[in-house]
Amino acid sequence: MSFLFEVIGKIFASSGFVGIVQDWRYGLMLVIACVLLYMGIVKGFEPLLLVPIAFGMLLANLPFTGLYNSLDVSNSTVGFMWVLSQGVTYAIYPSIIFMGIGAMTDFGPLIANPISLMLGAAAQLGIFAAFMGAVAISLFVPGVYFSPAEAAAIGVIGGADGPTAILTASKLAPDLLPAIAIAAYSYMALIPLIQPPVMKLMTTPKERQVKMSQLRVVSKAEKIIFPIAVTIVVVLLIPDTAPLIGMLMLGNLFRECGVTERLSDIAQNGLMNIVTIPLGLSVGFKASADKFLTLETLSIVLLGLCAFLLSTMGGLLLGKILYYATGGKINPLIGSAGVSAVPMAARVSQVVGQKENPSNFLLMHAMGPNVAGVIGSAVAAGFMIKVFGIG
Amino acid sequence: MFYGITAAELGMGGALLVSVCGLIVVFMMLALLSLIIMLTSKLVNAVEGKAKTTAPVASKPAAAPAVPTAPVQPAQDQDELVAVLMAAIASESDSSPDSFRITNIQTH
Repeated sequence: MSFLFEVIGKIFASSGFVGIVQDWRYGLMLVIACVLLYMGIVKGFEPLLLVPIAFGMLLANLPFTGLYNSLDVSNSTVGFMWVLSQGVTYAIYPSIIFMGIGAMTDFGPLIANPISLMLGAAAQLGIFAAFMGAVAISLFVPGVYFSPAEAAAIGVIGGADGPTAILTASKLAPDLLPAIAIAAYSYMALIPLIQPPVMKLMTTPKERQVKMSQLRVVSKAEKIIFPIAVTIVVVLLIPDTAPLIGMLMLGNLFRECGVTERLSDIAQNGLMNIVTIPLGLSVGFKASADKFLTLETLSIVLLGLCAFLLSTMGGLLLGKILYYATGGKINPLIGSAGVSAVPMAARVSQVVGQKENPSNFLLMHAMGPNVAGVIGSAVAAGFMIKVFGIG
Repeated sequence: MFYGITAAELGMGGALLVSVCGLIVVFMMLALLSLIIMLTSKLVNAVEGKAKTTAPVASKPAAAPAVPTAPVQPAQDQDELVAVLMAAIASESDSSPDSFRITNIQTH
């Protein structure tokens, strides 16, 4: 009988329960993971990403699993999650996701109205404002410190582009990756709640009612030349954007060239879904209690929100300038779509515009700044990596 | 460039400078792309416009033989119709009547 108790005692002593009892933070992280799962499954907040991220977080906070053990050649052992996470460490997954986004994106509205690119640029204001905010916190708030490289990675949350935020964080702030990724995707899911109040605050009913003229038809040749030209120009000028812009434009070329339908189909469906699983799991798995439950995480969440708000304001501000410059031909609401959450931000412009004028259809006009925002945030991220990265 | 720099070393002034430079780079890059898109559009439209104007002259003789002949007019009227059509095509495409050949006329 005593042998039985001894065996049971030893099994319990080596179980994860002891780990949770020893460090309460693991328990709290499990609760947070379950809340995120609830938000993804029940509330439908970016479920395709939030569910694997939350489950990765759940796995990361079950003690003694050894899932993140690095490669041990002498014993031929390696943790499963360590292997998966290499795709994040070396920025493989975000680049492949970008290829899928490129294959899904129609750049026609942007080509038809090139001024949209300026709105996409203005909506990157939040990136640089949040970067400055993070540096200011480091300098003036005791107990919280971000290096400038980490501040840059936090700022990129304002680009409202998950893969770009992950890639930048993996290069500049690997320890902050889970907090940055979760903040970026959470706010992207909350765009329909975050943006409309700012849009209404910064525009008048008259401006919101503006009906824009129909976009011209873009030829097939223009759509094929576009990804090739963008890749050459942008990557030559900022080589650090190559993984993102290169893959984004490759995916788009698959879509537009007319001879690679199968590749386009696999890039935007099968491949993207396959990569989403290890990407989400790896990001979530980095959110272990010791790294996540810090004042820094709280600061990142707040800075991320500020970055989103300021990016929206930047786009709207330029939208208003263009409204006056064109004599009221441009509806400033399309400026807020310059944050690159595709196509959610464009849909928000459409919804807010239609509330003011039910016969107004801004969606296609807003898609221009929306896809320009993807390029703009990649350029901004490339700039940050160039300035604060190795080499 | 600033790899390994601390927040104290960078300071708020440095952060502001980086931010302003970053915004300028993003605006310049996207303005450049905007310019490239406009130039490409003009070039493509010019080429496609040119192709459209030359297309009828080139394609008329080639396309016509594929369609079965179905003459419905008397021979004398047919000659007159051919002459009118040749003059119209030559005038419209700004080319000589010798540079193309009408092989088939169909009425619907």
